[in-house]
Amino acid sequence: MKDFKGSDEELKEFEQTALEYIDSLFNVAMKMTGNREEAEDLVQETYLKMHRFSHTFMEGTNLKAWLFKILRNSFNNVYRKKTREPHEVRYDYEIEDFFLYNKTSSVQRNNGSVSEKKLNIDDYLEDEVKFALDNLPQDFREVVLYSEIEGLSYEEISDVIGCPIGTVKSRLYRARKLLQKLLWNYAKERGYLKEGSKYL
Amino acid sequence: MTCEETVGQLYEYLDSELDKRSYTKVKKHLSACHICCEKFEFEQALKNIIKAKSEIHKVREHVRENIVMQLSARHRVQSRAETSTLKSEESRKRGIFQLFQLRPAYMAAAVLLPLFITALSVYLVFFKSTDYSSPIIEGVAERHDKFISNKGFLTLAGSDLSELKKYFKEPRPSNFNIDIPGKKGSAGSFVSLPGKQSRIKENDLRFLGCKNCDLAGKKSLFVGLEKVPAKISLEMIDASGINISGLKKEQFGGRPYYFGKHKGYNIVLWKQGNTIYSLTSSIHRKELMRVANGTLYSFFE
Repeated sequence: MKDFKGSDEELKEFEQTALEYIDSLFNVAMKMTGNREEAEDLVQETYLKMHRFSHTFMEGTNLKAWLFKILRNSFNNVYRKKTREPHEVRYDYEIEDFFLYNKTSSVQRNNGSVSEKKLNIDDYLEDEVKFALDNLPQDFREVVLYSEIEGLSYEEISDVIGCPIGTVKSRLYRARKLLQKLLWNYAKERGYLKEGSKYL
Repeated sequence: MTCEETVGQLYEYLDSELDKRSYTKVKKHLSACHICCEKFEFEQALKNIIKAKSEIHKVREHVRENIVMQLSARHRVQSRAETSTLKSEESRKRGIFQLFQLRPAYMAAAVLLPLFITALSVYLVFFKSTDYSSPIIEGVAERHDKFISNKGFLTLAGSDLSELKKYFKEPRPSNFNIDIPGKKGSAGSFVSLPGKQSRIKENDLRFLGCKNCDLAGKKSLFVGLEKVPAKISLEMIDASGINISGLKKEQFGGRPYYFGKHKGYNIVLWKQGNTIYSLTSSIHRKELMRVANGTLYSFFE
């Protein structure tokens, strides 16, 4: 057990490092709450909890994952689901693999008629990506956020959400399929595809 | 390596999660097979787009400053507590301040306690009481609680027979008009004959049934909905004599919505015509407003 003065310095350094993740934490908090004030509250709470539980953090382990874990717990405490569904809900049973790829590439192959507008995924705007992400079920959305937006590894994600790596992989896989379906739906709704299009 | 094997590991390859050996195998296959390569490039492009088109939010500077301040304040309190314990044996008596040298903890309490009490009462009076608690908020939340946990709660039936069979032993689908409180004349028909689609059945919002209830001393109409995987309670009362403007408010889709929380549920309310509508669920408030704004608003026009 280090003497008082020594560990105080270390604590400050530790907190300094932790503060470097503030933007990442805030970004995820924003996407989870959708609201700036709530996201800011969540982030503040996360750092205060970090301070309170700093003695439980094991040096050498992943600080970023630990902070995300605290953030996630705080979020769940506020938005916790009251009941658990008794049956397993499957969101993706209809979606084939490479869903969006299949939809978009079929025209390029068929030299489709001139009047059809091709769906180019580059056409997607911030709006649509946000809508698709927002409409994912929460546990799907969070793995996509951690993996694709924040670049956490499967192992880090499994640490944050408290599930085995296998679960992370399968959840991410299903989330991506659903995301593609949502992006596709959005393209249809937004009228990217003309009526009578081969895609519909 | 076959196409099937490659495709099975494609996401792991994309996420750089493969071990060196598998990684090399996949890479080799992709360079040789243009079908798999196209698929990979597409998924990679999509991943990049999700990342690129995802709005990156940054904290406002004052938030960071706040946190730094709060953390250092905690440090000061901690070190002060420790140093004053160290110094207490050597404290000098200085006349009138003699009293305060007795026990630093008591002195701190004497100063902080009135402050705390003031802060707490300000919070309770100005923030807690008007915003989150209100007889309507509590009433709908309690009802939602009952709805979720009690299978026999709904009386009038929904139109989806398979759905009905979960809730009623003998479902009796029939055609009836529901009186929406506050709406004059004929109201919406929630239930239709078997085989026909109920009008509320878009975007995964399913209608489960309804029930006449009482809320805040008035007759209310309760409708049970489901937006998989959560249940949503919709309750409507006549707006006359009810004031919800004291609740926290948020604009969504150009319309004002009021909200509250009770028992862990989120409640969203709005006024349309002479009726007050409320949605209660454990799902996120934003999602509820989306349901209200998108599906339900036009249904009740």
